[in-house]
Amino acid sequence: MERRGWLTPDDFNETLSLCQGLPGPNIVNLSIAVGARACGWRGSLAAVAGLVGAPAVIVITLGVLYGQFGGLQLVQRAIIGLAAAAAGLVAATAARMAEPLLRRRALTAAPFILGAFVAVGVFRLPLPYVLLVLAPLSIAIMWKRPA
Amino acid sequence: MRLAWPILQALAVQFSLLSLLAFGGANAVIPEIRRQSVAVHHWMTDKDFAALFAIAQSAPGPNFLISTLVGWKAAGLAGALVATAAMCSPSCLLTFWAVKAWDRHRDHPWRTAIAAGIAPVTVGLVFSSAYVLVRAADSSWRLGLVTAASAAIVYFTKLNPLWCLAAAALLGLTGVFGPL
Repeated sequence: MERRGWLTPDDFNETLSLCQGLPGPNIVNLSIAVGARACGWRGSLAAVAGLVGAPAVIVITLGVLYGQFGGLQLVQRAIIGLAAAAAGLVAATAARMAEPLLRRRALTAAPFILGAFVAVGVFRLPLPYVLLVLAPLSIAIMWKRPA
Repeated sequence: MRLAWPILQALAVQFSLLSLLAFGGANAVIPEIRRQSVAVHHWMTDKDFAALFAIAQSAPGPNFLISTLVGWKAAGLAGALVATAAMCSPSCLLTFWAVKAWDRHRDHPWRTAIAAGIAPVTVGLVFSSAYVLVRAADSSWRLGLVTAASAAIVYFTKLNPLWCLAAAALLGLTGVFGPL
């Protein structure tokens, strides 16, 4: 993007933080924003198609292969190892996200981290209701006492 | 190919809703995707879900492609297309609109409060995702060790996570975890 002069580094950082605050896959949101700034809705459409198209084809191909050969013992063996490691990656992601929040404002962050974890992870409650309760509370607190 | 309209409809509704709830990206909605596809609609087992998630993680591309695989598993190619489109479209439209509105409300205090307020909830949701995946994937203490090791390696080092996935898959091939 810098190379093509679509965005300055500052614009990029600002756009990234905007996209992280919106729902949806961050990287897709970012491509929408960059595409839109470069050339309107056509730019957005092209950017998403470019980002999602090829990986979607690859992942569907893998899915089809898994459907065909998933019954083979060798494939099953590899997949259970893979699945265990993949769960670990998500745990590491969560820990990395939690670290700065807990360092800067443990008191206002920890209850909501824990609350969301217990409600959705442990009790497996439906996400929409949990968000409906926790998000407004947490936002209200940050509105009263900005971090 | 016969189209399973009720399933496609369910996929469209579920993933459009999730698209708008996915603050912090796809990792935050893994438990809800699992709940819908395993517990509510019975499109697959917990094991299948863990396997599909692992495939989506190892493939190149954005990790919300788990929705593509869930759609595929539920209703074939049409399901994959519907789920992918549903997972993208609502949040894409919202983002497109937000970018346009952005310059008008550049420093609005509500914006920072919303972002700061949602952040810890998102982190809790990603922890939930990890927990749900651990419960689905780790059927023995050996697999638990693999999870712990990959979490520690990715957290403490700058090693590309794909190496962890590859190593775990190879380790699996030797049969130390047994076949399912």
